[in-house]
Amino acid sequence: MDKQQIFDTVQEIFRDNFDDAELTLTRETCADDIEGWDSLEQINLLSACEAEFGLRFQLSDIRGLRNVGDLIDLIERLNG
Amino acid sequence: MSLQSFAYFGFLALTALVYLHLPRRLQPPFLLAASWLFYAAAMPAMLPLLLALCAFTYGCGRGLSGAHKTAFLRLGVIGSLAVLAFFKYVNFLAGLFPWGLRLPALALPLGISFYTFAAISYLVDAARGDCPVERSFVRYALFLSLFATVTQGPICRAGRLLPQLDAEHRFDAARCVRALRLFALGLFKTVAVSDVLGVLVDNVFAHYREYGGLMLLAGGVGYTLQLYFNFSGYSELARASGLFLGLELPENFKTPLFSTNFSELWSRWHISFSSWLQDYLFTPLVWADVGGLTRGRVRRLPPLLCIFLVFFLSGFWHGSTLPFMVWGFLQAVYRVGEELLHRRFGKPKKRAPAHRLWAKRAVVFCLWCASEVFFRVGMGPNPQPLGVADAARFLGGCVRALSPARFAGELYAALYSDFYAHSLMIALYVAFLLAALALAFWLDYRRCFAYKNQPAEAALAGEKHRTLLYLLLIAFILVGFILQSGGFGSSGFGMYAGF
Repeated sequence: MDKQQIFDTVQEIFRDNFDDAELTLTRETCADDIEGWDSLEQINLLSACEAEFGLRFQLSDIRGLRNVGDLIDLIERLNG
Repeated sequence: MSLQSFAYFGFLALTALVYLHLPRRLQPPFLLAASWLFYAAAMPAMLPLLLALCAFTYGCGRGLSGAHKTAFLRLGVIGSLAVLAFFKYVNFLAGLFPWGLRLPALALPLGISFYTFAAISYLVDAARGDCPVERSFVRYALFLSLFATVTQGPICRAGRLLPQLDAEHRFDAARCVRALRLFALGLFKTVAVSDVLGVLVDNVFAHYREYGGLMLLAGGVGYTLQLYFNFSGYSELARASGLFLGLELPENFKTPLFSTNFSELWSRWHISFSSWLQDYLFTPLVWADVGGLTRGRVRRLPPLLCIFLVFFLSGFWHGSTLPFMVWGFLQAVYRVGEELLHRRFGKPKKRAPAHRLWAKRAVVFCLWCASEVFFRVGMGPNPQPLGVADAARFLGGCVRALSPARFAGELYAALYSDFYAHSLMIALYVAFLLAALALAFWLDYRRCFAYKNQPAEAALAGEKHRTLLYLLLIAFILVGFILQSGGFGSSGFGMYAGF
């Protein structure tokens, strides 16, 4: 899966989770930009990514995530 | 010496004056000496404990760069928690043994929670590689003991504060003006709003059985405001103190009373503590692999259970008595209940109509006030001991006997008997209180909606009529101080210093 495909899938997960079909992500999108992206929503999003990409995140993986770009890079790294 | 006392103004001015003129290498040791002096002035008997904890966690930190990293991390974290638990719960545990295990009642060392939390955060961050291991004992001890934060936070992160303690600090006029603005705002909130409101609140809780519903409502809502303006004002005094010295300390409050849900409220109330819980308790708990404990049936704990545990522990940290546990339990119920509602009825929309947002703010505020009644009962000061049953009776009483005439009579009698035996003085007290609350709320409203929760001093400086505002703040502070020497004391150390 290339970066663009990962990005599109992640965007779909976000739209689903935040119940907003028009939500548009960039690599710089972070928790401050989306209403309701709190610590619990973060877990829901990451769990959805785990299920979608067939991954298992460790605490050390997800601690350093600052924005959507970091998440995409992480998924790419674990998938590769 | 509380941050709102005249002695502190002198101490801060003198310390900053000397500090900013010292050669760079003498700055940290001087500030450390001043901080230990500050602590010793408040609680000389417990200074050795602060020193011991500095030395112990400094040593564990140094051990992190060696081969036995995990062992030193465990030793440091468990050791710090053991010291904290001992002082916080020894009286509670001794009380559980009725067959005469009599210990002398032990005083809680001032600020112990705040400096142990800072120490734990440093050890975990250093072990994770988020901040370097500090080599200088002086700088590390200063990080834990800094007089502005040692009594009740904000809980600083080593990665942000330690590099600042290493840098050279000189006088900077613009920074000093920022600090003065923030200091005035903090003093206004603590002296002119919170302390003045406290007189009425203390009276309502002391005689709550005799009062009608409106008086109890005034007491319950009043306490929430008293606590908020005390603690947020105190945090601003701490941050202003740091600014005078050239240090940027974290913000603790971002207009939390305008939150539309509890998730938001906890990201805006006592931020340095709630983010500590999130980073060092909640997130590790959620991502922990519990497969070994459950023989592989469950790999991870359900997030909602983790939320419940964290809020319950937060209540238990505030106090080991039943009212605090009910308070923690209520926070957990609010947060989890809200999450279940969101799952059932959909997430809140970004552009909801204004009336819906204000309705939500009102509901969150009322629920929050209800939980704070338990907090107040647990925390005191109460002339006779109060318990959970009293808090429940208090809340039940809020919806009975809602006669405005009765309220006016009770309010008058309460103020008359307590401190001002004159109608004119009572009218002035009520007018002053209402005006101070209106100004405090207006400032918060502007900060939240006009300045998108920028730092409070920046919001204040952005106002067109700021000179008028500064004069108003100073006038309110002066009248607040005069009121305090006219019959009632200030809250001494901030209301959170007791934790």
